[in-house]
Amino acid sequence: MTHPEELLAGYVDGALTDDERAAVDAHLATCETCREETELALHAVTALASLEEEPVPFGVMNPVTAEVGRRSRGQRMPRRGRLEWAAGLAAAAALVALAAVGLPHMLGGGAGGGAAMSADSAGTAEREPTAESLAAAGLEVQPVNYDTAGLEALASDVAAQAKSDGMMVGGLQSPAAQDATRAALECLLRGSSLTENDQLVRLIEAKFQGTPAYLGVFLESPKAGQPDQVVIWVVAQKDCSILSFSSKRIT
Amino acid sequence: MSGERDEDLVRRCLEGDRSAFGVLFERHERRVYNLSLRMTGREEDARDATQDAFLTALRKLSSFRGEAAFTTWLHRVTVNACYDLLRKRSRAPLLDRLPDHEPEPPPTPDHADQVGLSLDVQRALLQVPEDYRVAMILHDVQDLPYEQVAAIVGVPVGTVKSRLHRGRVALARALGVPVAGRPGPERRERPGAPEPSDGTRPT
Repeated sequence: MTHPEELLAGYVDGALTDDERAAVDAHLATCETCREETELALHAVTALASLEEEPVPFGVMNPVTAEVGRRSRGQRMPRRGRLEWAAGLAAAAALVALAAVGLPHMLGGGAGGGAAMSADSAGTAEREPTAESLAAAGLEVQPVNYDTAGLEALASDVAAQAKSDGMMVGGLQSPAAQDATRAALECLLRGSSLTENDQLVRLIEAKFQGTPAYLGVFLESPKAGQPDQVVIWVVAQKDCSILSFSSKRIT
Repeated sequence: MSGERDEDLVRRCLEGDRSAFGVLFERHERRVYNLSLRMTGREEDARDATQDAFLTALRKLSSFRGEAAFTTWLHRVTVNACYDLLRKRSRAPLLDRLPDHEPEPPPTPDHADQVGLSLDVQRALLQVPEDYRVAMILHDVQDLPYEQVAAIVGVPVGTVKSRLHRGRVALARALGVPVAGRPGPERRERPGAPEPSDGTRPT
């Protein structure tokens, strides 16, 4: 018999017939290699049994659940993918680390309660947003109760703005706002389904149909730096579950 | 949890019943996540692979025709998601990406030792070629029979068995198990060792 690997697996598992086992025993009596390997395999099986089942971490299924919702509403599916977790947390950290001018300064003008923050090419030289996959935005607190139509209007506004001025943002916060911002951002990252090229341009604390929520407004870019769609994710403040989603193509 | 068959739930999903998805997800997410975790060795990767697997399953659900059991099909989708992810991440060697600052478990028996052992096993598992690793995770960790592993991986049962054997040997070597070279396999006195069925223990 050459080394009977298939039978050795069954031998270690105790899954052989009497005849098969006898044949393997006979082989083992003469083959040191297989004796050694069988001993090793027994150790391995014992070791593998020490791997216990781990619980599924919170939020893993959120993008899947969201996708089910999107499909049942017949909406266009945003480009598949998720923001890499590490990149998301890095972006959150970068966001909190950014400090220069106060957030209200950045949020000064524009319609719709907290306009998207734009900067022309000269302005960005001084307040370059992070070079990370996500640009940083400050948390806007809005006393607004959004509904689906409101989300669509917001998406349209941002799309129009992105088209007109190539929106860029800088995250600028007082220390007091940092914790809230981090919480909002992490909540959104947990719930939404983003890619590295998706750029966060607005982060809003408001209500959605009466539920306290965070709204994340993203520019979706199939190619880096060339956004073609505005996507808004709405997650509940309480548990980061997805409440709604809206998108608007930049045309 | 509903006692409904997976295949019936799939049919309801395809008819547009969102609640059926929820039941399917809940039923399988743990196995899918744990398969991904053992394959990739990292929680972040396991999250991604789990999401990829379910999103792919969602997209391809209409192509699931019920020739295979749903669990077999879902495992196959998951294994493919893991392979894809490992390929993408192959630039960073797996071992470098494992947390190497894990505190050493204190030299006391009981749970702490168990955790330390599991980490060692997980690390060693990542040194085993992927095809062998899949076979071991499905059969030795998740207790699936050879035939189902073969259906999931898409190879003959004999191939599964030889991969299992080679994988086990590679794993033990990666763990640094010394070989005494005694004639014949002897059962080790080891708590938690799986018991072979009666009458088949090597003598």
